[in-house]
Amino acid sequence: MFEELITSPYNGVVQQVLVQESIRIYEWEPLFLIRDEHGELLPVKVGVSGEIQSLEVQEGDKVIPGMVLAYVKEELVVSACD
Amino acid sequence: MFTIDENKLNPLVSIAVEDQEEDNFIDISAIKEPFIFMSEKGKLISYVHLKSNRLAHKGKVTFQTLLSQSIPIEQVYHVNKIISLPVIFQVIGEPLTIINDETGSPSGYLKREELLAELFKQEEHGVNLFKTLLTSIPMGMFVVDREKKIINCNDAGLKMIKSTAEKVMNKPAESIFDRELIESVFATGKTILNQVQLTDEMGVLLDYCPISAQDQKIEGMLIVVQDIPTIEDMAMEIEDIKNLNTDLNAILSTIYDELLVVNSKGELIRYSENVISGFWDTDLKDMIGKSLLELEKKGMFSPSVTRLVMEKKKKVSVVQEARSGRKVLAVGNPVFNDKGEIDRIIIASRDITETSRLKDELKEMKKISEKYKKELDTFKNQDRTLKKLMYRSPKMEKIILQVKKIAEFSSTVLITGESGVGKEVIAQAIHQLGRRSDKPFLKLNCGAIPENLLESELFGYKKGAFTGADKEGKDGYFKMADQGVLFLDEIGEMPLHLQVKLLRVLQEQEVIPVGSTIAEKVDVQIIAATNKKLEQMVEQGTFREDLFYRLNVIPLHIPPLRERIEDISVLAFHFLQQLNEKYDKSFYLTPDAINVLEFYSWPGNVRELQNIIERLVVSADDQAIDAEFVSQFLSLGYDFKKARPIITRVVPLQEALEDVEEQLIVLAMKQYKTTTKAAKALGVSQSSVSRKYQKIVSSRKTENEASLY
Ligand SMILES: Nc1ncnc2c1ncn2[C@@H]1O[C@H](COP(=O)(O)OP(=O)(O)OP(=O)(O)O)[C@@H](O)[C@H]1O
Ligand SMILES: [Mg+2]
Repeated sequence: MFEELITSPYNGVVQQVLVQESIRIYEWEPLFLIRDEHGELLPVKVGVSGEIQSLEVQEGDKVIPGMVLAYVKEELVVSACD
Repeated sequence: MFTIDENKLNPLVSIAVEDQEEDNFIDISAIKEPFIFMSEKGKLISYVHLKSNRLAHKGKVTFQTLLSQSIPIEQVYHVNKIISLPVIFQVIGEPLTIINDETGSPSGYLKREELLAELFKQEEHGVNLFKTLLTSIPMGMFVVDREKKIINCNDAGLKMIKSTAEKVMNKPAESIFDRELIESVFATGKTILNQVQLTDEMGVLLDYCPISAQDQKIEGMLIVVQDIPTIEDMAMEIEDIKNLNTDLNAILSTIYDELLVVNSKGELIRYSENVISGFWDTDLKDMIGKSLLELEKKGMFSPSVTRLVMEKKKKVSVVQEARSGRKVLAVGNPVFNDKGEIDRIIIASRDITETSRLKDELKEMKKISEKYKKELDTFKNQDRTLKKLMYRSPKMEKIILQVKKIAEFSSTVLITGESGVGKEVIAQAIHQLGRRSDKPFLKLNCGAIPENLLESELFGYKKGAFTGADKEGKDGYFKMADQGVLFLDEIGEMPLHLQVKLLRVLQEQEVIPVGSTIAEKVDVQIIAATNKKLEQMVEQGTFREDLFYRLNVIPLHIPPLRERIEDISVLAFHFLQQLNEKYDKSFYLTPDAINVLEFYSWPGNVRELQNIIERLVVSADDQAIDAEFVSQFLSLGYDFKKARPIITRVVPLQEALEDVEEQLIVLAMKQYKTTTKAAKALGVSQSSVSRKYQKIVSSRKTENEASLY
């Protein structure tokens, strides 16, 4: 079990939080929508499966690159792939 | 009870307020009494101390001035001439006391010292009174003489210092109390208050008061002791807190590598024992009182969590990177004051340089191993395809010829055919035989992937839409199959909205990853396959017509196995040989067994044949697998009604008829067990079945017996 940080890759405002604490997430699932300075809506996705341990931001929060959005308890189970 | 002598009372000199104007002058120097009284309608309302600093030595003053100095009479005690003990404690708080007569009206007053002198004079009570006073006060008293020896004390005092009279009396005061303070009081004549004396036995608060004679000479001193048992507890608590602090520090340092406390201006005011080495260019000791915001401006690290907490006024977690390349996860927590302003910011940090590096490495390794796995798969596939493709029928020969041509030209191919006819094998053959054989062959089962994932699987994700090491995004199948072949299996299952996107890719030869607006060129040969009737789906509107025509550039229809009987034996031998090799066995199929296989309609086509052979091998006891054994595994009864037997070589008609008749009767008997039922299934009389079956059985017996010799 690893604790994975999900950080913002963008400068912008959290438009929508698509997950809740203690729910399972799957690789490349969109977790947050961030509206950048140009008004473009950008999804935050990570190559991590696991459980959301805590959310560190709310909708409307300003974020900068590197700011922690959530912590995820990562499962290092190799996902089935053929 | 004490009685007061009436003759000692001072007279009440009073001025009636109603008789005076504010600016009337009154010559107070003429008044001998130190206190005069104000009255209204014959009642005393206040008094004035004429010997006070404000009034003493003044000749005449206005009535107004007098009034301003008057003190309400309510503050003064009125007592009868006979007074009880507790009252004494009340009256000594005030500079004067009014004495009432028997009727309750004031008859005179006494100054405090006069009252006390009166009381002490009453011999028999005097000593008692003094004692009562000393013992009633919940304070310890130690009287020290000019030689600084303790000459008197009360019980309370002894209790507080946990000692006895014998141990204390006539002993130097400094043996118990603070020598320096005692000396100081004697030298200066000043009172020293609230001195805490803390030893193992006691926790007390001390006042050192000088006793001075008329000529200001220090005659001795009074040491007043107050018990503060709580101070011992407090001391213990402080000790506990100290220990707790150490524990907390230890605990925190295992969770965080560094803790900082910053004030509202962003200045460092405290830091933990452990700090993250290599993050700070300077010694944190030198940073005390300096602003951490400045360091961000100087470029020592970025971003500053202090600044972010100050801006957002709430907890912020952020990854900071130092100039040195150290990466730190910093969590800043604001602490607010009563007004809701930030008072302090606590910053807990963890060094994640190593973790980040390991994670990057892990991701890199994952990528590499995925690549190897894919390469291995293609090797396996190549090997399989060419050995595996078995055929003898003219229909398949024609198809293989077509396959070779298609392979040369990279055209889009649509393979149709029932389930299990070998659509995938043909698709692989197209890849293997063509110029793209050293480039990837990727298969995507459009029916097996959830609809919401299909799009991203096909077209990939936008670059940069991800954090961490996945900033590269993810390539879709089209991108991964670049230069090679993409096999879209079960194309009939593709949802309509993706059909549009697929059509676009086929037309433009480029893909737009999900979340991107930039198209990327791809060069992929598309082979689609389906066991559905796409034309029908087009009519029903579940498959786009334009896409159908796009895919249907080269249609390849693989006929069902029952329409290419010549392939059955080669396939059967091929599968049997594979199993023999695998299990080191030597099973073989007798010619009549092959006949039965060729006779069957194979609704599941090649896949069914492959499965049946495996079941035969697993269940057979005999090396020779014959017709009888084989027919047990095929649901022939059902098929007789459906499929017609197909004769593939020319035989004398009679012989063929007899052969068919025999096979039919044997099968019917096997399936229905009684001649009556078999006759019904065959549509002939029971007697005819019975007769012919007898004949077959007996002739087989003789054959077997003959083969014994
Ligand atoms: N000509 C052949 N030579 C050897 N093996 C074959 C041949 N045709 C089919 N097979 C085998 O038969 C099985 C089924 O073939 P395949 O998976 O290609 O069928 P399919 O048409 O794709 O079926 P479905 O429509 O169910 O996907 C596979 O194991 C394949 O190896
Ligand atoms: Mg298939």
